[in-house]
Amino acid sequence: MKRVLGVALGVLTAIGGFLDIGDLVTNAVVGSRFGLSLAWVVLVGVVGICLFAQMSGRVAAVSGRATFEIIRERLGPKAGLANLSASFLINLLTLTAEIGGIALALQLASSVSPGLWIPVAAFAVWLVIWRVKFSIMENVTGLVGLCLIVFAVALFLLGPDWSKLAEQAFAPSVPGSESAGAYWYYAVALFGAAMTPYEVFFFSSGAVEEKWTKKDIGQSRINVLVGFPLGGVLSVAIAACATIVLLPRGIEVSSLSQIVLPVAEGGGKLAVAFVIVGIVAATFGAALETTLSSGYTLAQFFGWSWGKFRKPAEAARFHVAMIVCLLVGLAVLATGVDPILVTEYSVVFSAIALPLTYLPILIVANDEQYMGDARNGRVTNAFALVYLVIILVASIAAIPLMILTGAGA
Amino acid sequence: MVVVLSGCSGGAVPAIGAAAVQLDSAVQTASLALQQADADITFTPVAETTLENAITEVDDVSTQLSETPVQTGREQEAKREATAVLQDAVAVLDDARTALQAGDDLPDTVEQLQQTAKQTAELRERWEPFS
Repeated sequence: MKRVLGVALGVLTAIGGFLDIGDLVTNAVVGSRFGLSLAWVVLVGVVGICLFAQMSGRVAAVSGRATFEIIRERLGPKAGLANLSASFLINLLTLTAEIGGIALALQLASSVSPGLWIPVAAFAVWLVIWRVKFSIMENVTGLVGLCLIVFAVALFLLGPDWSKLAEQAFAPSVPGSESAGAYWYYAVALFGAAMTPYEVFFFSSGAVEEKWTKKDIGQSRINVLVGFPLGGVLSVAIAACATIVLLPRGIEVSSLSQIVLPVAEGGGKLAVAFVIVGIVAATFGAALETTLSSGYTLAQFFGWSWGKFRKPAEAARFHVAMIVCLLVGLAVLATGVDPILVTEYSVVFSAIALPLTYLPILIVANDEQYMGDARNGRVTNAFALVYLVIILVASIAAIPLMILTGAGA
Repeated sequence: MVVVLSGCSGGAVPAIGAAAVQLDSAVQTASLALQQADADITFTPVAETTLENAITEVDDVSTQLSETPVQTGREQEAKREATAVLQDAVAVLDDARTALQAGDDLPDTVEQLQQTAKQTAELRERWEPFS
């Protein structure tokens, strides 16, 4: 019974923890402009993140070490540095977007300017990382993030024409009012949002924090293979809500407050309350994960002592690195830059950095020396190779598409 | 007043078309948020924030439009029409913000905003193809 509860908790946490500001904004933008014609990208992205997250979780469970640590050891400092640079900068950008997202969500609950919430949000993130146990931190934000299920509930309450939605999703085409360039630009952005690099680094470092062993591989696989796809369903629900309410009115999403409008339309005040709590939890959880991921990647590359399972005094540089990252995020937001814009750029730059993140993971997961008989099987490798091609294409296409379309304008 | 823009493919017209799309999106957003506040299906801070964001967006459109250089008579007429609709929208959005903040009855403001939303939709319909 205890084991079943553990699996259920893991799955629920994975669903709640799947969505972050990048998923929320990108899915709503896409739904309001392209309907469900890009839903297939969510499917592709979810399969990809499942594939690589379970791979990096397995590496951590078998070796007892985080993926990044092994990448540096296995591929040498140069390859490790390339991996670190790409992942760390994207991570910092994502962290900035998440803190901005918390502030925007709190503005919805209070009417107080996000500029005043930003320092509060960053301080709260630091405090939780400093004081709260890893498992409590992860489970609470993941479970409260489940409030975002209200998007799926609102979708049913809106009473859509299901056949029309299905037609958009299963026979996708570029809407007449949009260019093919913008369509593919947002395909890359959605893919980047689903496969954000911090998720795999957090997953593998989290496995070390929670002291996973080979025995835990089964549970981690269930968490990923059930939780993430259900998180993907929520992503599609967000896009579908925007498709039903915003698209016919010609509303193009450019702020977080617009994402809430379809929920109010479908479910009223109670649903709005749930969605605000859900957005705060999702962005706060992702801010914790990205802050920790920044510390993890730096500490694992430079060989510092790291982890929340250690007292802060025993992992001082790890904690200082996270504080510096939070301050950098704060400084960026203090310039008055729109957090939604930061989010939109972060998901596209994520797509650009994907090959540098995922290729090393694949190499390490195939290394007999580290993985023994738990290394990748043929089927996993076949899927992974297909994904490497997709990742490479998305990465190469991202910047030309960004220039060509004026960042999807 | 209807501006015929057939055949306009370059110059200021694409910029005015893009401004019309953005203006319409902002006004439709504000209109929906105010309808929801009037129907009591959302919280006041949500409606206020949505309205504030819409006003900021309309301000951006105003800046874009004022910075768009026009040369031909047709372009000048198009800009004049867009500016007129924009100014109406600014005034109505400002009234809506005041009404919402004061906790006044909203039906009249909602109706006014719906009328403005119709104007911006017409503007968009004409100009979007050229953006």
